[in-house]
Amino acid sequence: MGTTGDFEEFARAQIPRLYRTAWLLAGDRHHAEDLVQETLANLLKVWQRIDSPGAYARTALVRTYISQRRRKSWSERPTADVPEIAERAGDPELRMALQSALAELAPLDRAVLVLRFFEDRSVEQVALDLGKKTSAITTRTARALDRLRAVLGEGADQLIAL
Amino acid sequence: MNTQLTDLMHRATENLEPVTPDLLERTVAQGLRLRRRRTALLTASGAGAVLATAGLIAGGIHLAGSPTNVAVAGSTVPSAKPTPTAKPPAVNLKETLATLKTLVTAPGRTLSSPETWGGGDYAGAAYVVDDGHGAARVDVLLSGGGEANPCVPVRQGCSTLPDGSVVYVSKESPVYSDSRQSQYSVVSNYVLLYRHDGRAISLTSYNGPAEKDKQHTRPKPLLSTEALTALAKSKSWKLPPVSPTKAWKGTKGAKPTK
Repeated sequence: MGTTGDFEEFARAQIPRLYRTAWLLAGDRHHAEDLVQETLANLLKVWQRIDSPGAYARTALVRTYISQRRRKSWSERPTADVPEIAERAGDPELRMALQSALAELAPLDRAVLVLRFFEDRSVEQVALDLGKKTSAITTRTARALDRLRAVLGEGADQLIAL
Repeated sequence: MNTQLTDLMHRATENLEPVTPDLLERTVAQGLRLRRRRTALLTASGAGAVLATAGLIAGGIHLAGSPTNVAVAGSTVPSAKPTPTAKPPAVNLKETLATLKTLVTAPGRTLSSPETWGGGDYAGAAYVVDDGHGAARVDVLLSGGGEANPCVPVRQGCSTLPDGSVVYVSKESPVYSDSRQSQYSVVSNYVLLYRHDGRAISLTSYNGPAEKDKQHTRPKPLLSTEALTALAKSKSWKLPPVSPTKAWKGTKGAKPTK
């Protein structure tokens, strides 16, 4: 591993997945693209020193998100962007509803849910990724789920059925 | 709810693709720029390395007699030990905002749009400051830890203070890396004071009332990097308590930070 060509091949394969995670974290497409670009650009900077680039990139993405949210004030605007490709009926509504619900959460809680339920990481892995204790991750998960439950309510079932 | 949320997230994102077709090309270009800058600094600045070493030595000497000697500039991870039982008090956001107000207030300036965010081990605060030449955002972030030392490795904009803290300065950096930069033309001056205990104070001054999605109002940010550095060094900030170490343990070569 080490050449820019290797990196491009890696990035081409990883961008779709990273972008979806970034979209869940960031709340809109432009912020998501910014997040992916910044994460991968920083990865290229240290590319020759990385053993597990996939895991590294996903952790770096979340850390970049947390750091940006700490450092800067984002104005989140959940919108149903005009899709580049054909979408099933219901997808824009589903995205709007999910983003509106996630927007109710603190950035760290949001990151915890995305890592736990979208990236399917264990509590221990999330704790390592975010530099928190496992007990803190468990607490944040429960709290964030409660909040989402309150926001989405029984609508979650309807959304899935869309 | 757990299964529902997983389903929702996958359903909501399964057809999502980046809007910008050249995201890969832009990413590679930005990454190569960063790498060239880093490589150039590492290879061409023997003097910089000497200075950095001198800074480390000076910091070490200075800190040797200090009871708070927990780390020196150049440490990748702050070595301050967290208190395992007592929960540190949350940082006061109002106090942070008030301090920012005090420090940026000057004759002829009006402050508006106060904003705070954070809690626990970090606190952010911002104002839009207008000196009659264009309203511009100024924000501060106080961190109890978890920030990367921006000067490991040493790069342009880094300097070491006598107490072992390091200051990283970035001047008039564009906010966007794509065509939106020419649309909004917002740039920022940024200063990060990274203390030897891992805590950090960062300040950003823009040339517009917001970081993104608003037009610039003046050619340059309201506060210069020198002014921001002076603010960062102010004794008025009430920093959060030192946070537990947040080390990256996923790979052996490097740690992802931002």
